[in-house]
Amino acid sequence: MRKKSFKVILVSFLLLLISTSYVFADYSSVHVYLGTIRTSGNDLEYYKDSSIASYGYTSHVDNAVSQWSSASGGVDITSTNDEDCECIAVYAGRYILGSGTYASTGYYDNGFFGWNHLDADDVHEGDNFDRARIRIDDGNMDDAGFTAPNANKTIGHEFGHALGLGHFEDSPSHSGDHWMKSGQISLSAPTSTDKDHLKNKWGN
Amino acid sequence: MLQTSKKGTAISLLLLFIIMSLVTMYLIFDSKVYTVTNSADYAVYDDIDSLSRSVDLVVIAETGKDKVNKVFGEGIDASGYTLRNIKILKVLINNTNDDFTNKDSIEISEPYYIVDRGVLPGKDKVLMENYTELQDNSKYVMYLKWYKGSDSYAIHALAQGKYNIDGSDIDEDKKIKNSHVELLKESVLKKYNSEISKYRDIK
Repeated sequence: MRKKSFKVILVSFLLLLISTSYVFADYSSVHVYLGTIRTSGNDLEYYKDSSIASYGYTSHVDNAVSQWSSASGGVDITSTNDEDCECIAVYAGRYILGSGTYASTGYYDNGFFGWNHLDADDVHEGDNFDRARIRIDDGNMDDAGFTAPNANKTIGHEFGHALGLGHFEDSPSHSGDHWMKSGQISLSAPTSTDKDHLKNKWGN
Repeated sequence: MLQTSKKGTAISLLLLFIIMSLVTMYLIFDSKVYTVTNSADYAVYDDIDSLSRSVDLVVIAETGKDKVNKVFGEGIDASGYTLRNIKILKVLINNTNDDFTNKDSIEISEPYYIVDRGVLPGKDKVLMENYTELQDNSKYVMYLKWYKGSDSYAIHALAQGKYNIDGSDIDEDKKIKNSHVELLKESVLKKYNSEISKYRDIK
């Protein structure tokens, strides 16, 4: 009887261990895109449009850059003044993205005829890109009563997309709050789960 | 001399044919609309009660065919939305001071737009994250909020703001499959089942 109980407990424990490690080790294209910005991780640049300073988001953008840069040895993002760069370009505006949308990231290919807008679903599945264009909606964030940690999280979230990370609420989801979870969340730095995914993408 | 002239005419005709073929091909490709999606961070609702509290209007409505594409800026710098009229069949929640009568027609905006690709042939239909456009002549439960960006009511929080009730919007079901929006849709259909059944003609 005791032996049987021990076996049941052991099997339950192993099953729990397997399921837990599966959830925490999910680096599928849902959470880590197969497509990547073409610039090497240590040569990444970001361009801040003048609208970022106008709407007061400079420190939030800089926070996103420094937090992600320190999360992986394979990522180092430096500033550029080249508006047409193959880089992560950040802009802000008011009421530009539709009701309830705080920020967005578009992916672009720099081809013979100029910038070609790519489908995010194709980037998930392996299309590489030359430029990620982040847009921050100051009007929608104001209306939602955004605090500084909310803004840090949303802008960090978009930089995460630019670096090839997906949404953690998508199945198999990660519980708890993370930079890569959608929504109005108070979080000024990426979690260890966020960082693990970045390392999986770009190296330690 | 005559032979040279004939040869010249043949070459000219051939060139003309090639140019016309290229122009025709460009026009064919230029009329093509490519769907592209942007990633986004947006308001997320765990249940329909919290969603209902965040909007101005919840209605059962029917779409028409006419829509207006509003685009600001060009190419990579473009942003925009789509305006269309909807006929309100039933007001489910009204958090505004306005009196909306059933069968009123109001203008709403959707978070997508169509922009020319510039030198590249074709146009891009730019959608946000999990949103799929409303289908023509279809019925939905809509969660609407007044939006300063379009000076009209708008579908709120992308896919969480509209739920097809007559089975005509296959793209919607595909896009929200296995997401929390699928669960929200189940809740909406359950909560408003009696009202929906009066207006739903399954397609």
